[in-house]
Amino acid sequence: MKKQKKNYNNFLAIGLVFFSLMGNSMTKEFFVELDFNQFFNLPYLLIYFFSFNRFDYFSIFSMFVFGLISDSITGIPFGVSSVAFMLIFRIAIYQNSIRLRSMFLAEWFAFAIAILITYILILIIFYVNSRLFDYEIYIYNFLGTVLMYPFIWLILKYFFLKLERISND
Amino acid sequence: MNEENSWFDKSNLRIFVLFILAFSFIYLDGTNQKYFKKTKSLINDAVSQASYVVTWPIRELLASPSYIKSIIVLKKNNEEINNLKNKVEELIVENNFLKLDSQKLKDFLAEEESYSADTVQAKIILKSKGIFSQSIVINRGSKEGVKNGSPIVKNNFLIGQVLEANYQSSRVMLLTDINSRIPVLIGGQLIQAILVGNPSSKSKVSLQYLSKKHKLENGDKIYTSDIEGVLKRGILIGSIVEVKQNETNKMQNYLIQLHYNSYQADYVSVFVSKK
Repeated sequence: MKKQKKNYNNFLAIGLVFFSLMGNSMTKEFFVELDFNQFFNLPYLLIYFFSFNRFDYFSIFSMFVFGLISDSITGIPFGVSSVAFMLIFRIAIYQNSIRLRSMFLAEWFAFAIAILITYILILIIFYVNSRLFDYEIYIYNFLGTVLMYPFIWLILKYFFLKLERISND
Repeated sequence: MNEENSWFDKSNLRIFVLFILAFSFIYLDGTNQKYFKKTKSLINDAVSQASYVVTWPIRELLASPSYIKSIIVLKKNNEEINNLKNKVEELIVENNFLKLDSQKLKDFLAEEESYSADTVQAKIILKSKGIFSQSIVINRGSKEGVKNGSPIVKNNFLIGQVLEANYQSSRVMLLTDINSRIPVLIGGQLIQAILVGNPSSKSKVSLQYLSKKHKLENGDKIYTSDIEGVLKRGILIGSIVEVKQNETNKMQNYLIQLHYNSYQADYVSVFVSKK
């Protein structure tokens, strides 16, 4: 019975990541152009959060598959997002295992390092593939993603804790 | 030793293999390998169709207030449409006069009429507007004659070019994408330049390779050029809305307004070659 409740949360977590990949296809329906993907990278935030908190279905293989789906949606070379997602996942798991979770600031700092490494790797891949990019946009996006982490962290923690309590009741 | 506390645990072989696989995909994509391209095309088709189906209930749910609202204001709009129709008819008469007056514009319009039959309607099934790319996915592919480079128009305005034609779907690179390069003709003098995507600028596009001796003016229209042999000549893109003089390098800076916001569109037209 307990396992079923846990799976429900896990399913929701993986669903959130999937819908974050859909991006503008969804936000357009709110009648405003929510270009949030320009200011922060929601999929990276969610993948780090759920991987760090050890949600089920978040494995290296699922990150690989999610990466391919993301590349197919955004139109960037196949494999780039897979590398990014797997890297974030691996760093999150490693940081979780060395007990960083006891202090939020350390978790936040570790997230910034993970995202920085990921962006540097992506830009190297783009450079090698002769794909144009505006590094300023990536710097702003990196800063936006790092600054958004505490807010997303609060929302997700509150939401999933509430959900767990409701399920337990 | 705890297995998870080390980068060198048992699962590292799987991680290593998946990373190698991902990097191989990046390499194969970069080299345009034939079989990989076909496989990618199939995956793209599957993902775009599946994404559209999976997100359909949520999109419909979110769009439902607009359906209700549209029914309420339908009558009012109908009256306005009738009034506008009368005005449009008047404008068409005026436009016909201008057509006769301007030989260049007449050529453009004649050419546009000649290829108006070579278009297919396509539904936008995915939109991607992020830091990596600015593109849309449409539900028409090589099956319907769509090719890489095919122009995409909405209300007769160019919004992008097909980047990747799959069998049943195609990815369209929008004009505002940083990798977008469109040869254009500007103003009455048909000055040649390249319209490039520039996400960090105010107008999201800018002009490159513009001859210094030519000066553009407010209101100058920007049309596609057939210089590269890919695009049709004379598709309207946008216009110059502001000209600023840069005092430091004595150059003119132009603010361009694209005539159609591609993210508001649900359906577009694709030029296809029927030959």
